[in-house]
Amino acid sequence: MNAIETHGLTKTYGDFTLGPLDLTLPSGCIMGLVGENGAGKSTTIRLLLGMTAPDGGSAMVMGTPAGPDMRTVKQRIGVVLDDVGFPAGLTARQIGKVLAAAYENWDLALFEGYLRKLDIPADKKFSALSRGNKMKLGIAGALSHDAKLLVLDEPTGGLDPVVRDEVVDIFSEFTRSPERSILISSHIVSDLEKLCDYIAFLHKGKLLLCEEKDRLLEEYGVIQCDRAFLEGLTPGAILGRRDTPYSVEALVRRDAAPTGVEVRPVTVEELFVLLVKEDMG
Amino acid sequence: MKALFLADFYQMMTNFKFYGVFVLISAVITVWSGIGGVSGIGMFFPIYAVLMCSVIGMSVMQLDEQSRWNIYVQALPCSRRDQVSSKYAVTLVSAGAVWLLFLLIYTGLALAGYMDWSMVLALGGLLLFIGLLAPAVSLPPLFRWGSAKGRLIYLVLVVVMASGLGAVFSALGTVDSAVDLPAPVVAALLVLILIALFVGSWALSVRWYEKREL
Repeated sequence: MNAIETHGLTKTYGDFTLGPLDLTLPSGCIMGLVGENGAGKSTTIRLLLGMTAPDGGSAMVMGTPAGPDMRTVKQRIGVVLDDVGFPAGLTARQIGKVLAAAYENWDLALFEGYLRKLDIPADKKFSALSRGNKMKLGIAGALSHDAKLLVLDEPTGGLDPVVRDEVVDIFSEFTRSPERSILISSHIVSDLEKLCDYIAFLHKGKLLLCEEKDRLLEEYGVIQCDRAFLEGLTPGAILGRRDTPYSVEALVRRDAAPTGVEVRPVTVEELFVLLVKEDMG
Repeated sequence: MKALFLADFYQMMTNFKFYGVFVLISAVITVWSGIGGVSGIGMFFPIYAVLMCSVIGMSVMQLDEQSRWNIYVQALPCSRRDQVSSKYAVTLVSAGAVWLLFLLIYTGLALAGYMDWSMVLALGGLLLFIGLLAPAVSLPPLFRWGSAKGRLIYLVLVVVMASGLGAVFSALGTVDSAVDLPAPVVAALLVLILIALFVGSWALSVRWYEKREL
């Protein structure tokens, strides 16, 4: 069973339209959702959690249609939203009690363990916590009820590099069990590169591509050459380009790269930036 | 719903402690004035205390919106019906507790011979009616349009209710003549109307909130 599956999912807000989205996240895998601000990452997550109704298409989450009747399946989903919205006047300890009442499989010892491990003040009001601590508390809450799917919207935003690294390790550890999956959106593409099996690129509401990360990195590469050389190539071979004062960097499919030119590996971040620039150009 | 009620309860205890102090002061004044016979001041404080506590549910809703808890809850295994029910439960608990306190005070005054039983029933019914009428009417718009617009509607309603009650009392003569009506009948009628209004209000809030785009 796939953890997440969408077919032709669309949602329109004013002049912004998300989709149609066709995404598949197999169980036991991690998918990274990459996109600029306003690309539709949060809207995608809201649709998957049934927080808003789609205008078209369908979404299934762990075999259940996304919508208002997801109560049972949500027992097995851990969520961190980009704006962790716990009640301002409650302490971490009280928030733990609230979540314990919401989730059947709440593990208090595990939650308290995360509070200690992530150095979150247990008796300070939520409103008095730093953005980083608020995010860490959201993560602790999402991980303490034996979830089978984590849906994380910018969970590493506001964290310092050391804690970010620790949190990425926790997410990695989470998917050791084969029935556990993660959908994670982030601006920090290096985190996703480290963590994900699948990468989906969203740009202005459209899905630019969705592939296995290793396959993407194998299939695509970057060549560095001068402008004249680049103009001479078949237009279809160039998927994206970045002009520098001295040369041009171009994103190519390795199998379509001109012979005799060195193709260096591409990073996920470069791949996204070059594809978006091409789309905007 | 237990989780949401617990969150609302913690918020209530954190943010509205001073309401409790006011309620206690009101209770003392009511006892003091009751011993001398229920006067205007003895009526004003219980009504004000019940009204004040009846808006706690609405105030918690506003806090939820400020902290975006109302959004986060959508990701938890809780339905929108649960969210609405929790706010109605908080309203019932806070206004109900204050109402019960004053009912006990009136009962004590009646047992001590400072008030007759028909007055206890009439005042008890009136307090309950006043305390829960405002939230019953104001909560649905809050769930439909959010707390900013809902607050405005609430203020308008307070003015309309105050004028309406004034008009009713004028038509009946005075407050004294109003409580001269068969008290158990008045109290029972008020409570029945209130229950119907409250249940209808809850159903409307659920319906509107389930359709609202957050």
